[in-house]
Amino acid sequence: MVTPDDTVVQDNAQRRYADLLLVQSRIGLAILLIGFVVYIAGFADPVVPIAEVSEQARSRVEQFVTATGWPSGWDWVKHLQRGDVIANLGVMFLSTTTILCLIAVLPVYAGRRDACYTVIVLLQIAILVFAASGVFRVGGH
Amino acid sequence: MRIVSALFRMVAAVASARTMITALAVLVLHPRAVAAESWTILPAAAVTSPGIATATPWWLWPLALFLFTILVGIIAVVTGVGGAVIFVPIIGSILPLNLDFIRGTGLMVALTGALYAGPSLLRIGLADLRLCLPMALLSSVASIAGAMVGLSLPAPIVQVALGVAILCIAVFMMTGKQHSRPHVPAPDRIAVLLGMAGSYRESTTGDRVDWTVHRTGWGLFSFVFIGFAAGMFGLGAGWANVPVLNMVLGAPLKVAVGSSKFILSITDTSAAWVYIHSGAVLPLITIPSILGMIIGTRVGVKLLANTKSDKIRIFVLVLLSLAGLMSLVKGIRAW
Repeated sequence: MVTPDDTVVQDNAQRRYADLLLVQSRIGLAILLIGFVVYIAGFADPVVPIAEVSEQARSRVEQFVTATGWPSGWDWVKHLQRGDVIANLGVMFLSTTTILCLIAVLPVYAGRRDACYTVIVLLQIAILVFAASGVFRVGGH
Repeated sequence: MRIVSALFRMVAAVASARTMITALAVLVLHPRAVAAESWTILPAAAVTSPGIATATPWWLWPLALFLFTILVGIIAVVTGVGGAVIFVPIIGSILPLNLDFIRGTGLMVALTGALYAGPSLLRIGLADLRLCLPMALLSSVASIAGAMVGLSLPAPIVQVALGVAILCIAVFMMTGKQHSRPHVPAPDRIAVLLGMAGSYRESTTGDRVDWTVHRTGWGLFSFVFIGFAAGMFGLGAGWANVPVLNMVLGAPLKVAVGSSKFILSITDTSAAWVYIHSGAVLPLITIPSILGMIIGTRVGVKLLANTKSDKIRIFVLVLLSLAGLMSLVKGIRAW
């Protein structure tokens, strides 16, 4: 249906999600850039020497992890001083933005007593948190 | 943030046609630089010997990936296809990197593009949370399963399946007919229950457009398969989201395109974590690709008004068909 005059105001939950996503994506980009500069400028030693990445990355990920010691699961926490792990922090930050946005809109749906969307958002958060926790992965140590 | 933004503008300005050609030349013509031995890094003993250098400097291929993804980003915007659907099969067929890492990068490229587009799409109503959340829930569960299957199957099988999938997508893109505002006689029961309806301002006329959807059950069912393919092949899945939202559910094309992009930000997040925890996201491959895609998207938006998208669409279809065939042949040879 098309109407000429009405104003279009988006849902409160939608606006909250958009605002938070904007802030987080900008922060994520900044972390990504800084981390990458630290990595390629050699300010911190990497887990996998930078000149060996292309050679080692020809093998499957399980073999790569075994051959190079590249962290899988939560092992990266032990290597936070390493350049390549620092570079990946931006990637990980960007991969958590959706979870934080969903957590932010949950009270909006719960406050409206919107049972369907409260449950949908809760389930979605649970799935993403499970995925981020490292429960679902292939190979590794 | 202004500095970051200024940096992007500066790099985007430098990313002229010449740099695009250089990127393709490095990737395609560099005598399969790529293929095998020229990328080989010599053993440690050899490297330390005076006068012996590595065959190819380490920075060449991240630079090539960066420039190539600028091109992919431009094509993605101008033609409306997702970046990963071009990135994964082409890079997977040209570079000697294992497909595990390329799929991990493809997902991150698609995810980043979706995260950056999300805020403005949500604010103007071209992406709708009530429409997207139920679809994304099923799609993200399936994408985790797809990612685990993709990382577990033998590489040649995944390569062959990717080739077949890309060829099917090319055929689908050639034959599918989308409608700017499909006729929805009445919302179905699920759509009413979930309140799947919304409004946006049509930029060309200034009119407010109210929409709702139907056949929601079929739409939800379709998103299970789409999510699985996205996770398995590291594709963004915009190629499938848009037709399902538009042709099955009856969402207006602009809402379908915007909501598709937003759904990717949820679906790809779940699959991305499987790849990250498995160790398949390497910063030297992923970050130049993400940065290239962001810059390419911005350049593409500026070029959009003066570009004949039909001709570029044909170019993309040919490109996808070739990439699908290359992937298929590479997989069959390795089998």
